[in-house]
Amino acid sequence: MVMEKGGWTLEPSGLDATTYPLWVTGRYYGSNLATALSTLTLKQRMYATPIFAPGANGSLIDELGLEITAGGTAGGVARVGIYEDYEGVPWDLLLDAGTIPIDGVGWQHVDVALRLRGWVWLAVAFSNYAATPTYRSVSAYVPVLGFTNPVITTRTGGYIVEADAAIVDVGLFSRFPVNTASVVLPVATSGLYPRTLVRAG
Amino acid sequence: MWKTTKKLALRLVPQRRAGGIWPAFRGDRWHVPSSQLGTAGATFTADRLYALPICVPVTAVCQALAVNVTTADPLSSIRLGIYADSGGVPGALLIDAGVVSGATVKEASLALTRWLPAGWYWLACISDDAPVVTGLNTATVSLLGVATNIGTDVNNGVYIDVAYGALPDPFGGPVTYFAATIPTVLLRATAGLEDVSDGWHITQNIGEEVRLQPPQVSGRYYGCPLITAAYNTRTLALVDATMYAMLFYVNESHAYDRIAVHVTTRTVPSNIQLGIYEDSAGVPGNLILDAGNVSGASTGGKEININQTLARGWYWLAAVSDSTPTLRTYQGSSMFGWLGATSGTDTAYYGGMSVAQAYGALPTPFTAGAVLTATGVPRIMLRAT
Repeated sequence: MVMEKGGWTLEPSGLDATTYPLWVTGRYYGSNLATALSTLTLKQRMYATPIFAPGANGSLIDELGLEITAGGTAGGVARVGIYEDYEGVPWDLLLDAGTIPIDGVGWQHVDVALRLRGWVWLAVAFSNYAATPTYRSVSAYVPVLGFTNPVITTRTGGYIVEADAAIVDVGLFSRFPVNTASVVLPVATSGLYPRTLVRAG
Repeated sequence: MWKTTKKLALRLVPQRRAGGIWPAFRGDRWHVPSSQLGTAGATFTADRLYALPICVPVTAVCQALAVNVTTADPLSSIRLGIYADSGGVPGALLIDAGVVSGATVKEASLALTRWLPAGWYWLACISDDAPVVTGLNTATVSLLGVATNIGTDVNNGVYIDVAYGALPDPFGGPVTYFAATIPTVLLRATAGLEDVSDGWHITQNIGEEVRLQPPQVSGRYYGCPLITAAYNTRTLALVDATMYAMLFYVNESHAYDRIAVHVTTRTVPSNIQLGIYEDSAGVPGNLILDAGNVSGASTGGKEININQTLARGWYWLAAVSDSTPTLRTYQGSSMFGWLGATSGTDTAYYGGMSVAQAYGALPTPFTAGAVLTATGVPRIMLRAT
């Protein structure tokens, strides 16, 4: 690494093609950092979890969704989308993919056509259901998001916002509400979070 | 690569889409050595300088170093610092941050301001006595390799024994690899290139210079770096006439002189053919090396001398047997989700790929029809020269 005195400008170029194994068409990928599988039933929350899309030119995806393991309110939906990464946090909305049903079990997804590149954040928002669905979740394994204090008791796997039901009906925030006062401040999650997946296209 | 152009601009614009191997560091988080997870109490050995590798994924400004003292040791002190990486071990001293007290149970931090370009570093600590701090335990990702072809330890870091005091420059050696719970230093840093108040400016890429793994060290054996240690000790009876493949990563062009497996339960007679395949868009491709075979008729580490240089990138190490010897294995969730899932409801984690293949010379390309395997793949390792 060279450091120079004086004024310099920098121009970024392509990603390192070898950072992580390439995605294979037809396979499903989620947060790279988690292993333990479980389920969650929390509602009125919006989650964002990081995922690395490999390849010098990124990776195509054609599905975005979540497995529902026990259905909730009839006609209920959750909203899924993707945020860009900005220095380690979810930032500008890249895609509001729409809603997936939560009243039936199985892989619930939206068809998409998008090329992802580098770190992005998969988002899912749950409404205030009368009957909350149960959905597939994972927990952080390697603490690549660090810890919120030096006591290091819990690993972080993403960000969570206490979401008003309107976010599911109207649409995802155009910018993820990190450090804004308009919503409950998002805090790094610990423990379980939804296993949102994309399918490589 | 970054293209650098000398201009009069004094303000640098950070890259919006991070390309580092981990998400960028944030000033509101404390970051730990990249590979590590579980926590436990770690007791200092006095006059022992510990160092743990950490990846700074995107150029960042360091703001503080900390330890969390959980059992006080009266009159003890702990000195903290950061070393540069030098070929996979700690090298030049970058920061001697100073001393915190180990005499009180508390989170003890030292403020600092220092640019760290993206790359691998070593967080260091030394004490003059035996306070206990929060440490990271042995269940780490296999970043530092193992010393032998039957090694199951996964090293958290390294140490040297040296009298307590100002941190030595350079770190010194030879280092001893450390597999037990190690005192852990935490780093608070924030990514970005906007603060250039000291007139210093980064002139190189903030993401591309970082590799998934620190440089490999001559004489050490390396398997897949994405494996967790908890699964480094499992075994699997091979299915005869089945070819297995596991991911292998080369962080820089490197030469290897051994390919090895560990036979834990013999089958008489049995043989295991070993080789190296290219990666082809996420699956094994063309054969690079058919290394020959080792015997599975006795237990222990089995290896073949090779002379193979591999360029930076991903590869697949392959094995096929004519019988059912049991080998040390990567299995299940050891691979996280790097290989993906076969459906949106697939809850398996896959350690590699396998396909029916008669024992003998390895085919090229890799036999068609390979599928992800959750039951395990042999742990095949290469020794770095």
